[in-house]
Amino acid sequence: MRFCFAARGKSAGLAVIGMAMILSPSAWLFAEALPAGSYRSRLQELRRERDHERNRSNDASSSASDGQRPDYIDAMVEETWKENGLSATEQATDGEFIRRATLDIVGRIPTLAETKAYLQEKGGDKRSKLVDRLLASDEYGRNFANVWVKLLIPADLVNPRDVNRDALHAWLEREFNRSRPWNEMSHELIAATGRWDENPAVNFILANQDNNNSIRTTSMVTRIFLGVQTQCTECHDHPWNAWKQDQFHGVNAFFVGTREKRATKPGNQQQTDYWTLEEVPFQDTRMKGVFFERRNGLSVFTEPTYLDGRNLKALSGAKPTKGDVTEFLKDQMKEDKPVYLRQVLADAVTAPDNPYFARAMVNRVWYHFLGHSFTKNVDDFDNGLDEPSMPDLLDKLAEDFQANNYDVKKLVHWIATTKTYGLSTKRKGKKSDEAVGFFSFQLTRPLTPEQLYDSVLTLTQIDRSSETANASGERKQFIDEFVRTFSNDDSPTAAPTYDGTITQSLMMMNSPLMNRVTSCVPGSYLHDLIKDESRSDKERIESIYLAALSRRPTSHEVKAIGNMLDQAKDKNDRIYVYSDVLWAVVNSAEFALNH
Amino acid sequence: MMSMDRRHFMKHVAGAGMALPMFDWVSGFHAARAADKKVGGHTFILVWLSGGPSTIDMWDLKPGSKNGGEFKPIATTGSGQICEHLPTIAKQMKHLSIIRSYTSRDGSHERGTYINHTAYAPVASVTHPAIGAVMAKFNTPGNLEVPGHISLGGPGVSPGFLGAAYAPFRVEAGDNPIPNIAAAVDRRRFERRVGLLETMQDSFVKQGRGELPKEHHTIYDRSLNLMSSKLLESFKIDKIAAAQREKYGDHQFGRNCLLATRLVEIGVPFIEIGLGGWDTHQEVFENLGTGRNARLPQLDQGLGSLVEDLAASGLLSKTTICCMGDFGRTPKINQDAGRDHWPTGWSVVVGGAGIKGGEIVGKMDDDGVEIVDRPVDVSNLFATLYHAVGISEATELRSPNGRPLKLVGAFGSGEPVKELLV
Repeated sequence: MRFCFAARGKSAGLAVIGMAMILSPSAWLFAEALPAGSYRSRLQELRRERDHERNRSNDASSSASDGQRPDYIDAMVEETWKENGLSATEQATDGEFIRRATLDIVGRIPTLAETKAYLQEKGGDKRSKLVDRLLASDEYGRNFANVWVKLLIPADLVNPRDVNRDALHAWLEREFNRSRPWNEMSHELIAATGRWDENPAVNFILANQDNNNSIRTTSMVTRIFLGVQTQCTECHDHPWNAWKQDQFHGVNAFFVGTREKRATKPGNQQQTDYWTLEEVPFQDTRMKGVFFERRNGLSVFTEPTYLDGRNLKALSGAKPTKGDVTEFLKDQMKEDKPVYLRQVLADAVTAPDNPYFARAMVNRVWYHFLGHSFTKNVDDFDNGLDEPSMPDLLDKLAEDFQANNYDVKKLVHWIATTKTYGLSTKRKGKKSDEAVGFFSFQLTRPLTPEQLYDSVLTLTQIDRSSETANASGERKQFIDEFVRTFSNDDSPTAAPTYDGTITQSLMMMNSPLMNRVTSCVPGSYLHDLIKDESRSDKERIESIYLAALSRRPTSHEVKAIGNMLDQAKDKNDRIYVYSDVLWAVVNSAEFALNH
Repeated sequence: MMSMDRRHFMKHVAGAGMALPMFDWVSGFHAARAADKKVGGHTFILVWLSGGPSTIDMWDLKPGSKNGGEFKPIATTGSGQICEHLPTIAKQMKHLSIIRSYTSRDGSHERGTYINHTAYAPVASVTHPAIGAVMAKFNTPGNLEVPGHISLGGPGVSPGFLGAAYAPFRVEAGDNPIPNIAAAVDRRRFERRVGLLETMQDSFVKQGRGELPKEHHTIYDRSLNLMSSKLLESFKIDKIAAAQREKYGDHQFGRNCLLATRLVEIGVPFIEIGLGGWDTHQEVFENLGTGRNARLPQLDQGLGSLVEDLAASGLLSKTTICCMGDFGRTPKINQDAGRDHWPTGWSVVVGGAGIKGGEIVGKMDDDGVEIVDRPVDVSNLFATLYHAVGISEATELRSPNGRPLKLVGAFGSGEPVKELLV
């Protein structure tokens, strides 16, 4: 049921319209290979319609142009439920919602004060107001930077020494916080040159280049910014879809001018001081393209060529002709204007008429908030196997995202204030597994190591206590250790799995750090809670559950903890009971999961 | 419920079962096993020499060639000769065979490590499971209380899409073999903690929020099981007689090899033992054989004693061994008296259960540059190893995006090295 929707729903007509070859004149080269009904052929069709519309009138108004949430999201999702005979689950409780939205937007659980205030807040627009408050906080940028650093610098790099992760993180944090348009950020990440600390955007390319080999960089650029996976076509034409080996190497050729330079510390040739990413003008490169080997052993040359078949000349706006790179160069030399290939590539990737660019980001942000993207894998359009589950909604959101100057905060606001986002994670119906991907309930998701650590700190406030000398060092140590034992596929799959290992649960249960943060240290949350003698035990228990889980304890839990307190040996042991309760809460699935 | 005692608690945990309800990406799980073999009873030990061992100076010496180097060959109890700095192993070569014509395609550390653990080249769309995860998946006995994929100082390569249940469990022989295994509070308090935790887990799991709460619960139950397992005694090698400890050498690799013998006893299906320091671009002979902290004597003591003890106790009949690294090293000795990366043709040592000992397979030319006989590709090696531990080399896994992936990978014919199979 999951991905055959396009063939059943009302969009089927559009999806199987067949071959449209309007992408660009030179797309003729590849368009003939497009399978009928593929999402790509559909995108080209849409694009033709849009161009047509634009020619007719310049009044291209968008339903979201004023920044308000477009109201079609819930309506279109609901329509899909109807078509597939699904019924939605109930809305999440206020406690569940504030916990989820806070984790998703700022990367930690809400504080006790935030939860209390939110539970008391009146008014039908309280969810929307909450989302706005969270987006206005600088923690939003930090959280999105946490997520994006991991995407841009994959964890499976065994020894990622050639990269300044912290600088890239700081850059992303700032740009997300000031709502830098996504097309500009992307352009910079692809085209940046300079030192890894002075222009931190270079760290994306630096991390993925391997001694001036750009195979990995090529597949990362198409995957991250376009949601197109080209890596298989490094070695062969794709067996199931239209992607060709030539296309991979055509994009790969955009990196022939890219150079990584290492500066060593004065007096120590072994130690890296910094790296610089440089770009030789195309005119000065020796090769003007790359050779690659076909399966039959034939060695083939390709000049820089974008995925849709446009070469440099076509990309520069001139009329396309085949194999005219030399001619193109002659023109450029005349003007004495250096051509920087990554600039040209970044222009093509982020161009307003690129059908993939806005969709890729919409699909990713949707995934971030719903735990599942419109496609089976979040970065895999046009793999020849799966079509998007709600292509019309994806298209409309992409169009509005673009019309709103690629403003990620607005996109987040639209998605996070829908009823769909606010659904409970409690599933209804027996075949709920099959409904994953139709968003009729929210998906339970594991906290990332960063979310987990920052949430533990938010709860225990141990960093306020006198016993924490080096808060940022401790955070890094915990996350590194956690990630070291993490070792799982970093590419998101259909539905989240719990990524915990035994090593991690042992760390959560028994490590000195976790035991310190759950003990009654002066300055900590627990210490304040116990010190305040005006509170009853019941109030204290309630406070712990509200702070950790954004809900009140069940009567069963209150009774159980009451028994523990009654059985305590002495006053000291009563304090230990509270510490043990805090430990149990932090180690529970309810804490470790976003639900 | 709240004052649950230890025994009650453990019973509760045992009831939760050891099976992990993670996504089963494997097609034909049962078909994967050869019909006459049962799950359990096989152990595989991968001795991983990270950095890329100079096998031309270890297992396939070229005396008389300009590339021959400084070491002399010595006779073994098998049919070939090996390096003079490996005398203990030489005595055990009747149990081990050398593939002298292995080709592994890639000369970067990162990719070489990946390829020789997964049989695939790394790609962005999927992380292939390491051999340790696959063997843990197919060969872990249902009642084993410790994880099936154990890394003793090894690189610990990802379980990929098989999931965290098969992730390498890192252990180091010594005072603290399993980090955080002991509770930080006294027993009374720990039981109080776990009692409340169990109450909360049970009620959350019942709320119908999908599989994740159950998976979290299961991992915690397994961890608690491990904390109270009697098998933890096996991890304490300081209780072993001093004389036996001594022959393994006074170094971490030796201690890890000794610990591996204990893990074989308790039935762990996959153990990786790592020994680093093989990236000998400079002074290869000093670093390997003659210098302070040289690699070969450590390898000799550790691996030699491991094979000797497993053979003596009979455990070698259920234990398959493979010794390899990222790639081999260039036959040509460079200007720094070192050797560089050479994936084109190098030697891998295999032996133990399911594999003939004392054999030599394949041949390099007299200068150790090109394979002249019986090239063995990545898939041939992996097929041989899987076959030896009772996992059909025809098994396919299905990646999360639905693609079928052969266990033996895509490099070469996928046939095992028949002349080595028992």
